[in-house]
Amino acid sequence: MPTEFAPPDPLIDALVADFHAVTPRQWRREAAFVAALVMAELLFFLTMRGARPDMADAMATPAMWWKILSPAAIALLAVAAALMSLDPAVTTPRRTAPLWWTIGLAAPLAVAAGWVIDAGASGQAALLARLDWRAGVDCLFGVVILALPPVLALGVLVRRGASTQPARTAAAAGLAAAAFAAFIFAFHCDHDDPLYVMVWYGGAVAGITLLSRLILPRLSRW
Amino acid sequence: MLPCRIRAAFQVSGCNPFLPVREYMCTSARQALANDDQRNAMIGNVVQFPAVALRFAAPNLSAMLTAFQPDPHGWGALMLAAQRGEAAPYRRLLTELRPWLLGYFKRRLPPAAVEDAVQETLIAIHAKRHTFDPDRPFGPWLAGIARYKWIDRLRIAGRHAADELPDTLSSPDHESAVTSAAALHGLLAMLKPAQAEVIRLVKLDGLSVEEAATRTGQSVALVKVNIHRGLGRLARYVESHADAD
Repeated sequence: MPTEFAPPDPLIDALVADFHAVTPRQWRREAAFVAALVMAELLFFLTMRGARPDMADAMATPAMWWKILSPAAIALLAVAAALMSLDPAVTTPRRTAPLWWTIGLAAPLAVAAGWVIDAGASGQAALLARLDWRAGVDCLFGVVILALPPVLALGVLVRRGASTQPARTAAAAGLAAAAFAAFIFAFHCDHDDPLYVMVWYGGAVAGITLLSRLILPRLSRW
Repeated sequence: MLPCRIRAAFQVSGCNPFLPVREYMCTSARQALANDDQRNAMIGNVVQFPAVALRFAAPNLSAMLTAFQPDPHGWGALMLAAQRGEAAPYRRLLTELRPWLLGYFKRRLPPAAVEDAVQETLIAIHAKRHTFDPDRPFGPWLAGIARYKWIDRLRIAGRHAADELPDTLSSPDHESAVTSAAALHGLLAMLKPAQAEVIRLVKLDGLSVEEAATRTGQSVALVKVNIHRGLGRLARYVESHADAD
């Protein structure tokens, strides 16, 4: 046994002196925490600003489902990637590569689906009217504000965890938070035009993802 | 952050070699026995019977089987005990990890960076010990952290391309120069020859930047830039590829 003959090491002494029991992190508990937060935020938002008045009619259109389900799918993938990557044992590139690829493909797929739906509707006429920028800016800020609680919560989890790919983890955490926010906001927003959704929702999601990617790695260095 | 606190405590308390070694040895010996039990329990009955039989029949085969056990060094069991707050197994774990980490970084880093990398990794293991999942093997967790710190150190070595004094390097001992940083030598082949050459001269052979400049015909500024870019590229390469041994 090398232990018995090893010379005393001051660093190891210091680490053992600082030492106390810890609870091993469990991704299930963290996922449940994020899910509870998103549900609470959804309920709170719908109480404050209400669901769209024409919800019953909108349920019949594919655009409405696309608008709600694609951010939900992106959020679920991204939050899974972010939480998984917090364990040093699973962050070797080979093992997580398929997940990152799926996320990389999911976002363009959502865009493409929107475009297909769009092609079935009107042409390119009256583009500016379709973008409806006054409502659009409201949507943009709505999504950004709704993304703040989940991005903070995920930020805390990322800091507690130990990602060996901090940049990717930070981007995934930002994407997950923003996509959850878009999912929540979609219940309120009565714009179903894919072009509108892509520009305003997409802008907010991309912005939050980018900010998280730039800021979070600095805060979670270990 | 935790690591900073520890680092500060480490600097203040300094060297304190007087420990209750005897007591800790007794506990660790008891822990070792407990580990063996736990280890055997983990292997399960199906594997355990032939393993026990082989231990008498063929010691070498038994050793080979040990390599396939989920926790060959008992480190996972030690960490599990540490997570529950037992200090003696924790000290034993860190003490056993130190030589392993030294070997790991000696193969992968310039000599001057090895000791820092080992200490940084021990601190990281300490600060992130709650991220170890006791249901999974310890090896990949340890390897993930060590690799992360390796990439970190490659970056830092590149950033401080040349402002370290050459005498911080270990004295040029021929044998260790041949065996040390073997993995790093292999990786250098991926770089442009001009970058690989100055990294070899300054970071591994311990020449000053000026000496490397005269030797290679590059300007002093270019030597620094090449070290910085080369090590940065290696860090990115390692980060995006599986462990290159």
